[in-house]
Amino acid sequence: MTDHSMPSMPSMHSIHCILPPHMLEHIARTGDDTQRERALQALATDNTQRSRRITRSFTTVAPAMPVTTPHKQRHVHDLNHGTNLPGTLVRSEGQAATGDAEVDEAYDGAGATFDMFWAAYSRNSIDNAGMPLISSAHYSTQYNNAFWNGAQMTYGDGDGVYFNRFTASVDVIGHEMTHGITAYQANLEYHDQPGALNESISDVFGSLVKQFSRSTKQTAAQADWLIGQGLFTSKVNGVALRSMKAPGTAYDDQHLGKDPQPAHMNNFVHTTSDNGGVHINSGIPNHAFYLLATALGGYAWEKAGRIWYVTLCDPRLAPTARFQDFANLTVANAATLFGPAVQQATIDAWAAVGISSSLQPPKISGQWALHYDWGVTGRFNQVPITFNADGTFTGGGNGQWQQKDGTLMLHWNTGPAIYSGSLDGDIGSGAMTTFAGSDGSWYLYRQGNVGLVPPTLEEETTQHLDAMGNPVTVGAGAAGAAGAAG
Amino acid sequence: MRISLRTDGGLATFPGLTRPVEVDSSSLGADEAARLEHLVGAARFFARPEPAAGPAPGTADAMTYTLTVDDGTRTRTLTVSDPLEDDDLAALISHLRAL
Repeated sequence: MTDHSMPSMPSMHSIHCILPPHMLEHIARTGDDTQRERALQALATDNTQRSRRITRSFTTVAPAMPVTTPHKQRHVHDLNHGTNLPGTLVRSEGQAATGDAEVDEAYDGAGATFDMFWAAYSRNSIDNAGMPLISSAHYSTQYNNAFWNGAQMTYGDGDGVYFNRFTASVDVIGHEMTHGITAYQANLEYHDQPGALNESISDVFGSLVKQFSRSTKQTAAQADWLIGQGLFTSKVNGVALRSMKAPGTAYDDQHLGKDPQPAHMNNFVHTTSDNGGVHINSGIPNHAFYLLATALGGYAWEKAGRIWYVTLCDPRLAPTARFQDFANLTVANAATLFGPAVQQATIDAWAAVGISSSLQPPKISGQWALHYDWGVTGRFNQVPITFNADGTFTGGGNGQWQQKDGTLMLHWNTGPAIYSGSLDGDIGSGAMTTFAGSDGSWYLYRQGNVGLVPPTLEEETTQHLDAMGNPVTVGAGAAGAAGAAG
Repeated sequence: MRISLRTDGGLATFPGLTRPVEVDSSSLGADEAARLEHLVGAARFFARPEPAAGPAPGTADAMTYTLTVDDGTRTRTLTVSDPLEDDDLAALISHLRAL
């Protein structure tokens, strides 16, 4: 599939749109007759076209988060065992604890969920626009459940025999609130595989809320990866509603039965109950997330969680998405966000639960020249680059490259620069980003086919910069520039 | 009067809890039978309009209740979901769940 946020794929006839003037001059000097003619035509066009194009390319690179302030506005209601939502308002934002544990846990848990999404992903509430967080406690009598009704969270007291109150576990509160976020983003349909993805996303972020909100934040290795730990009374032989670490092992009880979750596609459950097993087959993507988070280590919301969050907000994620669709997008987003190593870990995590999302084989090889700039006149650099069959590149520096779904990605090992864009025949172009926020454009052209001699670094009056935009001294040849590129 | 309640959905699926609750008032004590019949009557079970099928769009983790009542002369099945909007029907469901 195509990432529409990337610049459109160029072709040879649009050479004048994508190459900088100095490169056109180079082609005009050294190219064949056709290439020389096109280059000269391009050079004759108004320079303002180039400045317009650069402006546009800037706006298509990873849009900045809107400048906003978090708006945490909680309201907790007491249904007093009725079922007509929302009930009587008993605690609003900033008010003191009521002493009713269920009300206060609903308040605190909504706050913990809001805080995690804001701190980790700059998400401002359920709708990302400061929507009030409405909760209702004491739904019905002895109600063994919690739910999201499309507008608010609702909690039951539990029967007191097998279940405690459903606010007792902060990840359950995070689970319910995440249903609201999912509704505002991918809006995954609530049945079968899209429904199981919807459920899994709620478990993932519910668990991340628990890990984030501990007084000492938990790493992926420290987390218990349980959903609803603490909801069972001591009468139940089990630890939680679900286990992301080991789906199917959360409980095995005479009264409740045995945890029915599969951890692998081989054990996918076909059923008409539970909206097609949405709380059963969610074990498969749950376990993929657990595997990725623990493989990457550290705080799970930082990398694995960000990949999942960006995928949840990705417009390519359809409401009817199946596991395979979701997996493919996480793999693509892993590369964009964190580079090839994390992308490979994402592929491996899905493969371990029986979902194959392998990369397409390399499509380019040989000698190329990479030119990159920051969209400012006279601030650019150029390096020779050789693509290897194993996905690395040499000559221009150290790093890895991948080509998937029409997108070319170059990642430098030694720095934060990421080059993403598209390749068409002998020309490639796209956007360069660095984690420091410096953005620009890049161009790639095959040396042999356009008759170019191996490129030499241009000196003249041009200021050469490293990938962070800092001036570098040129004169050590390509190797010096290669180091600077990182 | 014979009543069955089947519950589906919810935040988690418990295989042990999927069995319907079935009760025959003739097997209950007089007080219990009267209480059950009172709840069915208060909920206007046979007079209620047909509810919408399944939870409202956008709902997640809600439970869906399938209630069947046979009073000896007529039988009706109703399917309703959380959030229950009718207190009397909610009271009947709560009572059956607790049996």
